[in-house]
Amino acid sequence: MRNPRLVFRNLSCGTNSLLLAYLPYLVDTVILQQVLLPYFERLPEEKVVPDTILGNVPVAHVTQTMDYRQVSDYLVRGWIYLQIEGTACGILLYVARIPSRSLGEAQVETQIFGPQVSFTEALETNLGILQGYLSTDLLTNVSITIGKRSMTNVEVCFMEELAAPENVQTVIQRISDLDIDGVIDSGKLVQLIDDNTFSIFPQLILTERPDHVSEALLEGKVVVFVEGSPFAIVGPSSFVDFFKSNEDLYVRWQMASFIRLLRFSALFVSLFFTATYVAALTFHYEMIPSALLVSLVKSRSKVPFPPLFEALLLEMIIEFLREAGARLPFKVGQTIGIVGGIVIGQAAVAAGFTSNILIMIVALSALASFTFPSYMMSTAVRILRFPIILLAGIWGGFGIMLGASFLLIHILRQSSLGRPFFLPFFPFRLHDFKNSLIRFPFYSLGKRPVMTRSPDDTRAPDEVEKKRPGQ
Amino acid sequence: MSLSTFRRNSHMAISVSLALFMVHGNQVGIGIAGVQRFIYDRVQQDAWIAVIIAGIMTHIAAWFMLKILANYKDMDLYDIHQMVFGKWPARVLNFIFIVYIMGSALTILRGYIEIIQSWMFPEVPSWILNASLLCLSIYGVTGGIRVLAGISFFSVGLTILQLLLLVYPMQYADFHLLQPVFHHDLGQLMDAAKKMSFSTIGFEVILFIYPFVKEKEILPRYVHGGLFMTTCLYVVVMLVTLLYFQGEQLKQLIWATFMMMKIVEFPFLERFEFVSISLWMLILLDNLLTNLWVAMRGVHHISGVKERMALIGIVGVMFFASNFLETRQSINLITDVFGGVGFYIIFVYPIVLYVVIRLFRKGAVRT
Repeated sequence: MRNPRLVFRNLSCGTNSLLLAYLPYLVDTVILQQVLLPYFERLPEEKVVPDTILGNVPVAHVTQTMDYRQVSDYLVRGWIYLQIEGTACGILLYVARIPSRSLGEAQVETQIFGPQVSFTEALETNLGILQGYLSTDLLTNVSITIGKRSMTNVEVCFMEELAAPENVQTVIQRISDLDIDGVIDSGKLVQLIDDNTFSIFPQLILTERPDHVSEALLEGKVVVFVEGSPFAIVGPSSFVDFFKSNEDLYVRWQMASFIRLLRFSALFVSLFFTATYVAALTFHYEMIPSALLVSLVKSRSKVPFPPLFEALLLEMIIEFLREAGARLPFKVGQTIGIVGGIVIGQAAVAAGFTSNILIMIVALSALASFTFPSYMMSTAVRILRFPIILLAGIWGGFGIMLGASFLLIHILRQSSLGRPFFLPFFPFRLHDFKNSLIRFPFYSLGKRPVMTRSPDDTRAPDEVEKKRPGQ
Repeated sequence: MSLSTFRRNSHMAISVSLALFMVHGNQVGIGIAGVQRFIYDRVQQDAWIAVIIAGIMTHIAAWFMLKILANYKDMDLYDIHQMVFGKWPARVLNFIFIVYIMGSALTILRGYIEIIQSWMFPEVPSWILNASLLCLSIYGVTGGIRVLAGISFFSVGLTILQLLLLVYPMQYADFHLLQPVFHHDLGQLMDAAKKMSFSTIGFEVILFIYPFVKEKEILPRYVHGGLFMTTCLYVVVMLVTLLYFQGEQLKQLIWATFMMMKIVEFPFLERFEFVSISLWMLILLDNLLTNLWVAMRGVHHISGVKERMALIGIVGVMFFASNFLETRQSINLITDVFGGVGFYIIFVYPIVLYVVIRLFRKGAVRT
């Protein structure tokens, strides 16, 4: 260990000579000064053996080592190394104060209803929050260290008896097999362990919400935490899971079903609305009823471009606005969104660049893509819009259908931890379907999803029976 | 011995209920778009009876097919041929089947592209449409039997959804057009049913997916269920067509079903047939994928080349062949040829094979 900040401290207490080594920025100096140093001063005059210190040092977490090569691994994680002169064995004391922030509200997956706390960057904190939601010893962790250079701690969590062993095994296997220098965030890890890296669709969910993770664990899923990342990886996840928000469970089932249907219609609007406009105006204007056609043509009369170019231009502008809003500091970003949207939109119409109707359609499809709870999925859908618009510009309705068929085949080919990705729809499973496009009341959701292949698939038979209407 | 060419692991198996969708989806293809006039030509207002007779014929043929398959465990038709006839005769028979399957795939593909060209894009050359659809099917077929089953599942859903739109032409139904009922003798009806058979074949797919189906003992009910659904669908479409069009008009219509879709109208959408023709791609794709998959396995079986290479070869041949089919006459010709041959291959041959097996191979592997 060649760190110049490493502190060596010699203490002589009576006849004993002690050596302390630690990294000051990782160690809680208050405890060191007010607890540990007085303790060493009170050590007996005669020679002490390591066992004495191990037995009564006022630190919760202690261990000993004979292997000097291990010591640096402990030092970089906030341990203090203690060597008593004349003994062969070193003592390690855990007095870490890892720099971290306090708990905050979820910023990416915001929710109106339900718990607001989100995970933080500290692994220990995250596990603590999770155990707070699930106060049971069934919650099991498997710790793995990955990254030859970064030595990142990764924690695989699952519920004993609920999670299918093969899922757990798959996750552990894929993580252990990684041969990489460093993994800093779960966003990177998830790309390294998912089923098909060539697909644009995410196959495992990233979430910062502890309630989401707890619910997933109860469904028998496997969760992976990465040290330093506020996002947990949840799998196996089906395509539909990316359109579910945990809030759907907290509101009444009618509302939840309505919102779910809204999101799925948003999926189609976002993918196909602009493309339909391009296809209809380029090739199939017979399809538009004459009353509508008049207003469409009036609004397009000044536009010199073909519909395809017009649509691509406007879609690009929307993407620029979104990206600028995401990169700029919060306050400026908000202004850019509004100013950019209104000013550029108005100016584009006045300048004869685009039609009013297209502005509305493009804005609507952008808006629709923001209704998805998963940021990854919403980005994937927004990107997929472009090839579909292009196909619509080349071959109209035939082109759109070509794109849609390709997407369907693609989704059917995907899997998540080896389970079919499109699950409640294909292979069709009625039970999972009841919690997909719509959310049925809880009494009819008495089983764990088929997706997870849970060994114990009954959630609450007695409660479920009691709540059934008419009983 | 290539009897164990398939490793039947759970990843490749499909659940038995999907056989219903694969049978139904593979039966319903391009035929439903315009079969009506051929039947009407022969038996006029009794066309729907001919459709029912054709439906009954499919049940009989499927019964024989299932009986043959049940005699052999985990074997498809290619293997059964080898088992029954020996190596070289089996290769010849399998080759005939492959050519037939490819031919019917070609008919379907060419038929759909003709619809696209006549209704939507007259100026787009057919080779490029061919190429795009064939590329898409390579991607689908390499996904394995699960993708085929999935596409069948969704294409059946789409067929049923589009069926609901027949409510629009039903508003103009004239029930006098069906009278007099039973105006034709059985010979005429059988002739029409034979003509209909080209649109009902496709269920031969069970001969090839059999090894991949999970619970084989309950397979028959799903196969017959699928066949029954197809018959119902055709009867409904045929009845609505007969009720909607006047006789002489119907004889002129190549694609009567899409002509009926023309009157579907929403406040924001007219000329629904454009949407309908586009959506038809999924129904066609389902046929194309399944046929290519069956042909691919056949080529793999008789020549031993890798499945992927076999697929690329088949697609290449189909692409090449489709470029020779440019005119309406040539399309009609190939449709008639494969329709005629199809009748003997699908409806007659299973009975022959069954008899052969019962008579000469009584000691075959029974399970």
